[in-house]
Amino acid sequence: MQDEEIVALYWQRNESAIQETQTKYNRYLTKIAYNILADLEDSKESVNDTYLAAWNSMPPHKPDRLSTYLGKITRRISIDIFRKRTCTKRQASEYALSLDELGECISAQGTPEQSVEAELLAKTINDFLRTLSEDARNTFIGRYYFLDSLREVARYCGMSESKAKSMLFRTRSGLRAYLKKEGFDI
Amino acid sequence: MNLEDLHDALNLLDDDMVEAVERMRSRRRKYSWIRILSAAACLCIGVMGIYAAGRLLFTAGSSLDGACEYVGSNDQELQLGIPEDGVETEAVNGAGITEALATVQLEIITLESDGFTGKVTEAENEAGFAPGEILTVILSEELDADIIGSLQAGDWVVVRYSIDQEAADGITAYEVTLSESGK
Repeated sequence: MQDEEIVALYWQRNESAIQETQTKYNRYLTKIAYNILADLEDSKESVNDTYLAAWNSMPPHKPDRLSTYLGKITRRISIDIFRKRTCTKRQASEYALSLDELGECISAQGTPEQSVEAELLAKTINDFLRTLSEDARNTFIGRYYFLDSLREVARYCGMSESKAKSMLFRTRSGLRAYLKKEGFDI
Repeated sequence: MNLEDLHDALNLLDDDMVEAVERMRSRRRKYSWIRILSAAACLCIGVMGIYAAGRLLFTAGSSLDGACEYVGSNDQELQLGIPEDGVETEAVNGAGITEALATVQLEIITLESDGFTGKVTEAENEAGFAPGEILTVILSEELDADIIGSLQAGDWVVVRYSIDQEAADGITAYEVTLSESGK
């Protein structure tokens, strides 16, 4: 079923919308959740919560591309679950690894007072990513948005792992400099 | 600003950039499927043999009901037990039954650029394979080329597998992970 048809089912409040969503996107969403949580049961919970959130948000939302819309919900919910976990259970997911890597972009843990408006930061990151080559942008998004392993990212971006690794390193350094230039307290 | 701010902001990336990567990620799977189809003749023989063996065990009323369903299932949930690094050891089928991923030990008969043909010497976890069966294994792209290159005819390998692509036109493919090998 096409995305527009599924979205239309949500707007009609037809419960088969969830079934159709599950049929088409269950694997895709679970992969995103699993990359963050590294736990199958928690991932399933996250994906089920995604379906509920989709049901509650359409209408009013009418996404052009359902996969991206759902993926963002799953990512957000999975990160919320991750943050509620104990430190012991936090280990070993790609999300946990990415936190270490992205730590290079920020010099110290910020205080709540230093918390920034997400939209402003997102706009700055978006602007920065658009200055990059397509390869650099895709590896960054693959690694830090989708939380895919370095190996996976290298494979679907068509480059060696070492090249992807050095490209990510340069991108992180560039992001740090860009954020600083834009006035963020890092 | 802290790391959580950064990750929260990433959730607001522009859709077009996310979609571009999304397409790359999905293209990889389609490509894999095309490769598998191109090797359909060998795979079909192997997998249909496996399926038939599973069915035979099922009708004999053995304890391998789950294994039979496992081999023949199109259930997407089964695929979830296969993270790309292959370390997960359990999958959950549609009925909510947790099953260990099956493993078989094969003796390599012939090697191809993307896999090998091998004879089952041992089967664990109620795999549904019978010793002596000939299987054709198309290795997933995650495996290192140097691992494949290190194998020779006569070597044994332990293969952990589960369904990766659904049955289509009588062909079923498995995503596999080599867990051990030896001379």
